[in-house]
This record gives sequence, C-alpha cells and structure tokens, in this order.
Amino acid sequence: MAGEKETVIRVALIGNPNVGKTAIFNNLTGSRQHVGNWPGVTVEKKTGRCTHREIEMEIVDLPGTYSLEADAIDERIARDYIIDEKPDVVVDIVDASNIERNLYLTLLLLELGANVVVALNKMDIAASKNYEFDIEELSLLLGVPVIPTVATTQSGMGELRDAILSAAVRREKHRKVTIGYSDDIEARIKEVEELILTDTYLANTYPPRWLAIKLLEKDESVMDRISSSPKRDQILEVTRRVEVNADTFAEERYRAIDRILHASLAGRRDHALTTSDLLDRVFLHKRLGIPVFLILMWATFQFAFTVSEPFMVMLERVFGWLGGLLGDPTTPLISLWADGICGGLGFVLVFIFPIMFLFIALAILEDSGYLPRAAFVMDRLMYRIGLHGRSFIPMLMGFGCNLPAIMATRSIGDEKDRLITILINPLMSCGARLPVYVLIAGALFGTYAGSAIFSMYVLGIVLAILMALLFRRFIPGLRGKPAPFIMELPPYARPAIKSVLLYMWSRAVVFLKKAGTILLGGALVLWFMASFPWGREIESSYAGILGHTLEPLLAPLGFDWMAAIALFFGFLAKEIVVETFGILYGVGGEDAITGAVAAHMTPVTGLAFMAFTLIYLPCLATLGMVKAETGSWKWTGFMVLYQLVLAYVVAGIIVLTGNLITGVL
Amino acid sequence: MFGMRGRIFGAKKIHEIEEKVEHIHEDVEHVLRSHSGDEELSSHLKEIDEHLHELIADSKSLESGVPLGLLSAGDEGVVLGYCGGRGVAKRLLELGFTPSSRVKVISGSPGLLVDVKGSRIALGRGIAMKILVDLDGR
Amino acid sequence: MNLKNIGLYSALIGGITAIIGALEVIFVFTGTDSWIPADLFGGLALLVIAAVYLSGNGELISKQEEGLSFALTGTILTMVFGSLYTLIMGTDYLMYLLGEADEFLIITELRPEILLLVATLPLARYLIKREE
Repeated sequence: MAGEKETVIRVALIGNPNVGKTAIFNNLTGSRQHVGNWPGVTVEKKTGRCTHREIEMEIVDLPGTYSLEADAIDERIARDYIIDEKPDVVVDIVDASNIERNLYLTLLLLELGANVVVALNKMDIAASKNYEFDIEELSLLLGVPVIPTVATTQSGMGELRDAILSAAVRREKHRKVTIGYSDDIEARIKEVEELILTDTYLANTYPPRWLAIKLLEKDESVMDRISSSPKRDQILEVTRRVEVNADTFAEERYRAIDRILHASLAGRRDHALTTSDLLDRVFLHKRLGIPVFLILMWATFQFAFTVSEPFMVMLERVFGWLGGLLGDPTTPLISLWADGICGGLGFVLVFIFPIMFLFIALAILEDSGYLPRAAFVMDRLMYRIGLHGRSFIPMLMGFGCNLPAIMATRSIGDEKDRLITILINPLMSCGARLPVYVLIAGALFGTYAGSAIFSMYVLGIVLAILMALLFRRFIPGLRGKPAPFIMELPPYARPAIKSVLLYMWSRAVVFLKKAGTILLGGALVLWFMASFPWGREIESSYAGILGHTLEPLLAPLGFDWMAAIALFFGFLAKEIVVETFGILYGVGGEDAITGAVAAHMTPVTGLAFMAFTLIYLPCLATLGMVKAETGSWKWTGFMVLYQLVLAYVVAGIIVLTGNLITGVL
Repeated sequence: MFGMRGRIFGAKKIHEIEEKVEHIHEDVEHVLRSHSGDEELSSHLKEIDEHLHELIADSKSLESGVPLGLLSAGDEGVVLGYCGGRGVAKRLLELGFTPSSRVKVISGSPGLLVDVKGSRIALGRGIAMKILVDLDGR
Repeated sequence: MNLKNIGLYSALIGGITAIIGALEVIFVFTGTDSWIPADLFGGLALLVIAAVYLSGNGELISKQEEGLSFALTGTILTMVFGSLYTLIMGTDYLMYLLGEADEFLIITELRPEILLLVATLPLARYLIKREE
C-alpha cells in the first residue's frame, strides 16, 4: 500500500462454490487446474501469475464461500485472505443464472470495503433462462465495474483483465455507493461506528462501518479481533445496548438485492421445473436413490477393470520383451534389469490402465454433477450412523486417492465430524489398492473378478460406517450429533470430453511420478533383497530371511512369507504389494504371475489378503497428511492402531467363515 | 398429513405461553408499582415487558407455520422462521432462506431438495423440520 | 409421441428389463446356460433400472409431465449399461486378437443390455428433442 506504483498487482478471486472460479483462474493464468462440478473442489488457495499490458498480476483462487462468516476451514481461508492480506483487487465471480443468492456475497464484500470487480459469469446459461441484464444499471447500483463473462468459452476475459487493471490503478478508498439498511438499523450502526473511530488502531486496521456491522451481527471471530482494544468493554457495552436481531441484516441485504435486480434484470421467471429437477426426482428418490447409486458405482468398477484388460496385456508384453533383451539373468546387472526393473517396476506400471479408466468414470460422474446428489442420498444413512452428509464427498474422493480426500475434509464445518471423517477415510479403497485386487481377483476368481473387486469397495464402505458408529459412541472426544446437512446442488451438466481426459491424465501423471520415485526405489530395494546374497535360493535371500521372520505373525491368516514381505513394503505405497509379487515370484508376464498367485493362495486366503491390504495401514503419504490435518500424533497413532487390529480381525473372520463354508461344500 | 402440527406448534401450547407471559407481566407491574422511585430498574423492567409481548406476537405468527420437512414434492410455501441454534440459522440465511422468501419442494422425504431464490438447496431431514413455512392458500 | 404413449412405451421397456434382469439373477442359481447370461450384479442392476421405468408410469399415463423424470433417468441408465457392455464387447474382441481369449462369439457378446439400449433410442430421441 505504501509505494507509489507496485510492480505486481495482487488479485483475489472469490465467489460462491461452483460459479466457475477455477475455470476463470485457468483462463487468466493459463494453468490447468481441474474444474469440478461439486462444491468444495478448491479447498486451499492456489496462486498463479499472468501479465497483461506489461503489468504483472498475481492471482489467488480462493475456496468457494457463501459469506464472509467462516465456519469451515476452507471458508476461513477465503475470508482471512480478503481481510488480512488486503489484495489490490477482489474479483467477485457471480453466477448470472443464480444471481440473487450470489449477490449476497457481493454485498458483503462491498461492506468490507474491498476493491471489487464483478465478473458476471455463466451468461450463456442465464441467457438460456431468458435473463436480460442491464449491465450498466447493475454496475451503477453496485458502484463497481461489472463484466459479463462465459468462462467455458473464455469470452469476456480480455475485458475482465482490463477492468482489473483500471480498478487497481483507481484503487479508490471510499466508494460513493453504499448499500444501506433501514434508518433504524443505520442509526445503531452509526453509534457503534463512532465509538470504533475513537480507537485509532481499530479504525485504521478495519473499515469501521464493516466492523460495526459485524459486531452487531455478533460475529465471533470479529469479537476476537477487538479483544485487545482498550475500548473493548465500551464497544461491547454499546453493542449490547443497541442490539439488533442478527437475522435482520441478512433479511435487509436480500431486500437490497431485490431492489437492485428489480432495476437491472428482466425476464426472470422462477419456480419452473428444469431438466435437472426432473432428474433429481429419481436420483434423490426415497427408495430408488440408493439402489441407483449402487448400480452406477458397480458399472464404474466394471468399466475400470474389464475395459482396461487388453491394454494391460499389451504393455505387459512390451515389458516382457524389454526384459528379455539382455538374455538370461545370469549376472547381477542383467538380473537388475530383467527382474528388478522390468519384472518389478514394469509390472506395476501396467496398472496405470485400470487407474486411468477408473478416473475417466469418476470424472464423468463428477462433471455431470451427480456426486453431490450421491452425498445427499447417502446423508440419510450417514446421519443415522452419526456422520455428516458432507463427509460423504471426501469419502467418495477417497476412492481416487485418500490424500486429496483428507484435504477435502476441510469443507466440513464441525471439528468432530471432520476428525471422524479423516479417521475412516483410508477405509475407502483408493486407486493404489486397485492393482492388488486386479492381480489377486484376476488370478483366483475368473469371471467373477469384477464382482470380487466391487465387494472390496463395499467392504470398505461397510467398515467405514461401522467404525464411524463405534467412534461416535465410544471415543470420548468424538461423541455428539453430526451437524445438519445443508448443501447447494449444482445443475446437471453434460461432461466435456476435454475436461474428463484432463482429469484422467492428471491422475495418471500422479501415478507416473510415483512410479519414477517411490515405486522405482521400492523395486530396487526389493530386487536387492531378493537377489542377494547372490546365487542363493530366494528362500535364503535377505528377503527370505525378513519374510520368514514376519511369517509367524501372519500365519494364522494363511499368508506365507512372500505375502508378509509384500505387506511390509506395501506401507510405503500400496502398489508395492504387487511389485513384490512380481519380483519374488521371479517370473515374467501376467499369465505366469497369475499362475504363481493361484499356486500360493486359495480363493479364501486371496480374499482375506485383499481385505487385509484394504484395511491394514494407509500409505506413508496419507499418514503424513493425517498428521498435518489433525495436527495430532495421538489421533494419527490411534488410526494406525485401530486399522492394524481391524485388518487382522476382518481377515481372520474371512478365513474362518471361508474355510467353514468350503469345508462344508 | 399435518396432524403433527398440533404437537409441534399447536394453538394449545401457544396459549400456555401466553398465560405464562401474562403472569410475568403482572409480576412486573407489581414490582414497578412498589419501586416507582428507581428509574433504572423501571426502564429495564419495561424493556423486559416489551420483549415478552414481542415474543407472543412472534409465536402467534409461527402458529400458522408448518415444518418444511413435512411438505412433499410440488408443495410451495413462504418461510416464517426457524427454531434451532445460531449457526444453523446463519447458514440458512446466507443461502437465501430469509423470512418471507418463497420455497418450493422439488423432491421430498426424508431429505428435501428445495428451490429458494432460484437455487437448489438440499436439506437433511433434521434441518428441514426446523424451518417453519406458511403454506399457500391457508 | 404424447405423454401417454411415452408412458406405455417406457412401461414396455421397463417390463422387458425386469424380466431379463430376473432371469440373469435366477440363472446364477440354476446354472442355466442360455443366450441371457447368468450374472448376479448385472441382473440386479437391470432390476433397479426396471424399477425406475415403472415408477413413473402412473404419472405419465395420467399425463403429468413430472412422470418424464423416470423415463428420462431410466433411459440414461440404460444408455450407461448398454454402452458399458458394448465397450466390453470391443475389449473382448481385442483380447481375442491378442490371443488371450480362445474364442469370440457374437452371440455371447451381444448382451441383452445392448439390445435394450437400441430399444430405448426412440425414447432418447424424444427426450433430446424436448430438451431443445
């Protein structure tokens, strides 16, 4: 704020969830963040840069928020950034097709005295609803520039950049237009405001009018902000005396919005049944909702598993051919290439295909707007088990990867709800576990492989539910009722191929990076342990020694020493389980390894092994994230402990009942 | 379908509240008469008295309300108010459930999908029961 | 097509879907070898789709537009499953070319779900037209 001309303009993007903030961010900065069709995709702020007319801008994409009163962490991030960092320009992205609700945040931003530029986005959808905006009038009434945009076709982006620049130059401190409340309320605001003006620190740090309104609204975090003021008691005293019913502010803001829209928008016709509504009558149906959700999930896994098969076969043959290039593995170096790199790492790489196909399906479900519906449908069940419906979104994301899923829990307002969701999240079977299922189910269950894999996912969900129920009831820190479910549902949309492929590719890249680092390292270590001391049988190699040491622990479940090593190293990353089998069985190609798996396991132990892999520990990276998000070693340790015990118990139950059934038949 | 109404915000209960308020009012009058010299006390008491009568007025307007959670698909109504904590009310207000706004149920029971100010909000059953609406034509 | 005809047509498709779904489930337990595959989850999926179609019938036949919800969603679900099995047919052919599968018989690959997809095309056409 001090210098005459700053070289970098700091711009913040803010808006309700799902208004196209990320799309505009991508357009402005040329980056390729995935745009999701559900609230809560952006849970932390992202930064990008762009240069326009030789002036550099730093653009921050803030999490979606409905107001500047922060309950959940993601909303707090957005709000604190605006208040404390004071960006030069705040671009408020407003969904033109849902303008009434969206302008609420705009009014709050104006109240805060931010240097606002409104991007009136989704103009195409608004046009299809026959909305006719008088942009000039709207801009005049709000007292800030209003730029119509369509983020998906990039239209209006040049104008938006220009508007940001001129707003940054103008940087007026006091806008002429204020959205007023009724006289009675204004008088009370005035009284508090005058008192605030007597404390120079407060008056210089925050806009006094905003502070007065927030105090009258009894905003708790604002109360904290004045706690060090010498006038604190006086301010609180006056606030108490002129008390306003806090709801009045919201009511009056909406009344102001009504006035503004009355003058600047024509053609509005609400309460018509849209196609989205037609679909929701079935997808949210009281009896059909859950079955429809289940069959869609089943189709997803069927697609990921079956359709990826021929591609896996092809890549496998390539690695088989590469591995044979140097001839028989008679020297350590050739063995490193053939058994370690091609047999181990190559074998895992093959699984990039089921992962890619799984994410194509999930991206379609997400971009179509179905996933928030799934969350809502499940909320009934979730509430009964003491979980919040919002927890369901991170849970679903867990099918992809637990890491972003645990970050996504930030959109859950209630701390207890959030903690429980984090604790049970690793039970959602992530993409890294899929290779293990594909290998083992493929080897042992033939045509039922797809259903066996699906059953693992169901098992994960069931266990997550049971654990949530237990934690709620028996862990002292987690007792209580879940917060109620309130969520805006975005309209359904036809998924764009480009966006789906982009999403799939971004997940594939994550896998490839993992392959180049931790999986490669794992392959090298495992190969070394399996091959040295050189020339010995694998049984007496280092791997053999370690495996035989661990074996007694797992023997009751019917797992042999190779399975023990696989699980031991699987803690680094679940894909290593598969890598281990590739190296230890010392045979190339899926056919041969499939045969080896079938020789080492019965269907019952196979199922138990899959379940054990699902439950026993989240991978190292996930544990790190759990520690970071809970900020507590105690909860992280608790998670490790309960999952080890649970894995053992469940696998034990599978082995016992399985043996009983197969014994009877 | 609205058989539950009587139990939740029935006329009987409102009547009881009214009687109790009347009792308090009498007590206040009594204290005022016996301490007519103390101005601060009397101004406080008068304020309390006012609040009480506002309360009755509020509850009377709520009397005609039905919990939103009892509506089924296709029903429309006007928001009267909420019962329940501050946090929930705050969220509902910022999403547009301000008093006197129209809501329409798109898909019903046990959770609701409603149209309010043109956006679609999903409400869990628990919260839907805490929003009171006035049905059209009643 | 008017709403009543849509209702009748989706009732027909719903009925056929239900029968095929039931057979797919039953055949798992009887071990019957037929053109209709024995597939527990696949059959259950068809039963759910059938339930969707049939739930909208009352409304459609009494000419309420809301009933279209069920025809619309049913059609989308049939499309999803029909496309899934069409893709699987393509994959099986690839596997056959790669020498991983011993045979590729069009009769076992042409799942009833794919035929149902064809049967819903008139419905899909109507719904897309309406949307525009």
